[in-house]
Amino acid sequence: MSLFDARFYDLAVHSLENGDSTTRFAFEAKRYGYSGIAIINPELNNLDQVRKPDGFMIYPCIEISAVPGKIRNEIKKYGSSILMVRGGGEDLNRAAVEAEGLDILMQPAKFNNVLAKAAEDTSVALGFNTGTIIRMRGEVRVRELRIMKTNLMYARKYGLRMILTGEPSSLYDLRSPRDMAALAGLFGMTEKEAVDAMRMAPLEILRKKSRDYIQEGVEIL
Amino acid sequence: MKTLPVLREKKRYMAFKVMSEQAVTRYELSDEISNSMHSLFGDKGTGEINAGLLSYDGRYGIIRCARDKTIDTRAALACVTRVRGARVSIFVLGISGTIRGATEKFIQQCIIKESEPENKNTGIRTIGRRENDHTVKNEIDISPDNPLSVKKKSFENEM
Repeated sequence: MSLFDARFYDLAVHSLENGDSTTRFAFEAKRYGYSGIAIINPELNNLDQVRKPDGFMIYPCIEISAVPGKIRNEIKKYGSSILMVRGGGEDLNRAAVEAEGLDILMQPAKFNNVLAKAAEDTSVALGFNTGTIIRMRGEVRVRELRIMKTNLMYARKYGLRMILTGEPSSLYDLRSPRDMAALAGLFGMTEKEAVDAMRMAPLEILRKKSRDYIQEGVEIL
Repeated sequence: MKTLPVLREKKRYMAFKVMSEQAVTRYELSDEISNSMHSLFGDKGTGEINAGLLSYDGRYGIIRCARDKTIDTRAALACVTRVRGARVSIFVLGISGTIRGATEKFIQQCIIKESEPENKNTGIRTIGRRENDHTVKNEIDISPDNPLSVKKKSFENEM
């Protein structure tokens, strides 16, 4: 059985631009081999009512953009959705990895062993955005690849969970799981790690966000 | 003179489908792919990949690459985003060891699948004028999140 015969998730889809509907995006994603997506800061109030293929799930994902001191308050406010912080300066990254309840820290540019250790304790997953490889050219892309390579090193060393996403904002930005794994290979991620970053890690986050989950080790069956 | 079979370079053929807003010609596509490869792997890497666009009919195509460089080729194809300002994405259907394999196994299968009547539940239908090369022009999504957008778009078309 191939590594790619599995259910994949993309947990960071931007609200779609140019009038592409969520329904259409969902069908296209299903065709590409995904079983679920999470939309960042969805404009639609009720994602359950969006028409989608059988067995396909659409989740809300909240991107928290607050000053480092306010992250905890925001996490309390939106506890039931998938929570993401976009990596930034060292203060922000630090506040993010130390915040209990955060799910994803997306592509932090300044990451070090201290932050990695904190992320291990709070089980914050490290996000890798292949969308930057796809859309950028030249020096910017070199920098992003560099960042991802170092982040991967820390993730391996401290056993952090990794999330691989393309951050698509239209139908044309969507890439199949195999393409994502190939892109992840550019900064040294193995195929198995890439598959886990699109399957195991998202499933783990979704399990945490399900209604039956109470806390680590306690769950309603 | 023919190369000895043992010395022949081993190749793979990748069948792909192009999704684009506007029609993309063969020349534009091959130019864009080679650009993308150059910017990702440089001259040395591109030389090793030994890529060549073998056929392209406006929608489906086959690209050749070295046997051990299929992942790199995939990454380069994934990095193609725009051709002449129009958004484009390349979806790899499959990889095969022969051109016939790539055509029969992937492209023909894909065409058969598409020509079958769609499942009624999908709700994804688009109205639009189809050009000769199958690229949908003035595509309208009739199952949008915001129903107003359809009205506006169809009005524009009438103009």
